[in-house]
Amino acid sequence: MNVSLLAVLYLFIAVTALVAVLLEDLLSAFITLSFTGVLMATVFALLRAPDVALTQAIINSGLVTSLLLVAYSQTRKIPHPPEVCDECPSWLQVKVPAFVCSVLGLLLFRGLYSLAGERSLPEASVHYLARTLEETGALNVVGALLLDYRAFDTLGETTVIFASVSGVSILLSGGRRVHSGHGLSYIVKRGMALLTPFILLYAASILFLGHLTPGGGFQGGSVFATVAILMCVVYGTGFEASRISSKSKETLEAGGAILFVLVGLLGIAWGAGFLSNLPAPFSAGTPGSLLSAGSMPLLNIAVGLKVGAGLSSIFYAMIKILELEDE
Amino acid sequence: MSIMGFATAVFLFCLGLFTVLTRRSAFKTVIGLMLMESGVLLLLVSWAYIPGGGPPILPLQGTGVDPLPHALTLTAIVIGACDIALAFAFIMKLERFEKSVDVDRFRRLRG
Repeated sequence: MNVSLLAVLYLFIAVTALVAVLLEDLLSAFITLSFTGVLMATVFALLRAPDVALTQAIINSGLVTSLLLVAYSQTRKIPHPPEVCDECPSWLQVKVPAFVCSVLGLLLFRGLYSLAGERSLPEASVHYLARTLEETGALNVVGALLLDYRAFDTLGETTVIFASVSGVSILLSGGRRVHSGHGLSYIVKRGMALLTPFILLYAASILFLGHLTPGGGFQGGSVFATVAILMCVVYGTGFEASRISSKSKETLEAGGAILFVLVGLLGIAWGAGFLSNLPAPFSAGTPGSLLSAGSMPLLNIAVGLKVGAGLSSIFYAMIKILELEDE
Repeated sequence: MSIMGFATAVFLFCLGLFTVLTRRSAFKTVIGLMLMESGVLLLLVSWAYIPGGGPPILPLQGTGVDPLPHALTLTAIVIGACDIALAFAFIMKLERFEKSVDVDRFRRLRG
C-alpha cells in the first residue's frame, strides 16, 4: 500500500471538491465534481474495494454526471442566481454556517480519531470471509453479501430504485418527445456502431460474472443504461426511443422485480425461508464456473434488468421534457 | 494511515453541509448533497481497510479487508444516484413553475 500516493489522492479529492463548490460556472463545477468521483474510485480501488470502485466509477461519476448535464441544459435559459444572498448581512450568510460546519467537523474528527489505529475484523466479517464459499458457492464475498446473506436488503434497494423511477416519471410526465436533433457526424455514428457490441459484451461480462469477480447486477445494469444514453447522444434523441419503447423498458423493469421475488418465493416453497440460496434447491455447482453459487446469477440478472431499465427510463424522462422546452 | 481517509471524509461532509446552507442555486444544493454522500462513502470504505488485507475475492491469501462496509457502500451509491435523479426532477419541475432555480425564491410553501 503506497501511503504517499494515497495522501496525494486525498489532497486532490479535497481540492477538487472545494473548487466544485467555489466555481460560479455550474457546468465547470459539474465536470470538476465528476473528476472528484473518478479520484474517489481510484482511492476505493487502492483501499482494496474493487466492487465499490467499479460502482463509483460507473454510477457516481458517469451516470450521475450525465443526469446533471441534462438537468442543467434544461434550465440553461433562465438566469442562474448569484452565489450567495446579497440582501442579508454577510456574517449571517457565510460566517455563521462556516463556523457551524467547522465545529461539527472538529467534533466528528475528534470522535473518529479514537476509532483509528489497529483494527481487527469483526466476528461477522470473519465468518463471511471464511465460509462464503461453503455456504453460497460464490467467490465474490461482496456479491454474496448482497445477493445471499442480505438479499432482503437488496430487494428493498430495488424498491427504492422503482420508487425513484416512478417519482421522476410522474413529475416529468406530460412531455412529448419530438424528433429533433440528428445526432453527431457520420464518423462518430459509425464509431459508435463498431463500439456498441463491445460495450454490451463488457456489461454482460460484469453482470454474469458477478458471483466470481467484482461486479454484479448493479454495475452491469448501469453499463447497459450507459449504452442507451450514448445512443441518445450519438444518434439523436429519437433513435433509441424508436427502437426500445418506454413500455418495453417498464416491462423489463417489472420483469426484474418479479424474477427476484419468484426466486425468493421458491425458497419459501422449499421450506427454507424467503430468498434462501443453497438450503433451497439451488445447486452450488463447481466453484469458479459460470453456473455456480445457486440463485446468485439469477438474482444478478434480475437486479441488472431493474437497474438498467430504471436508470435509462429516468434519463429518457428527463430528455423528453427537454425536447418540449426546445419547441 | 486510515486517519487521512477519515479527515478527508469529514472535510467532504462538512463542505457539502456548508454548500447546502449557503448557496442559492438549487444545483449547488444538489452538489452539496453529493459531497456529503461522498464523505460518508469514503468514511465507510476507509474504515473497512485492514492493513495487509487483500480484496474480498476468494481464494484469499492471508487476511482480507472487511467486506460488510463494502456491501453497505455499494447499496448507498445506487440509492444516492436515485435520490439525486429525483432531486433533478424536482428542480426541473420547479423551474417550469417558478422560472427560477433560486432556493430563496421558492416561497409558495411558506406559512
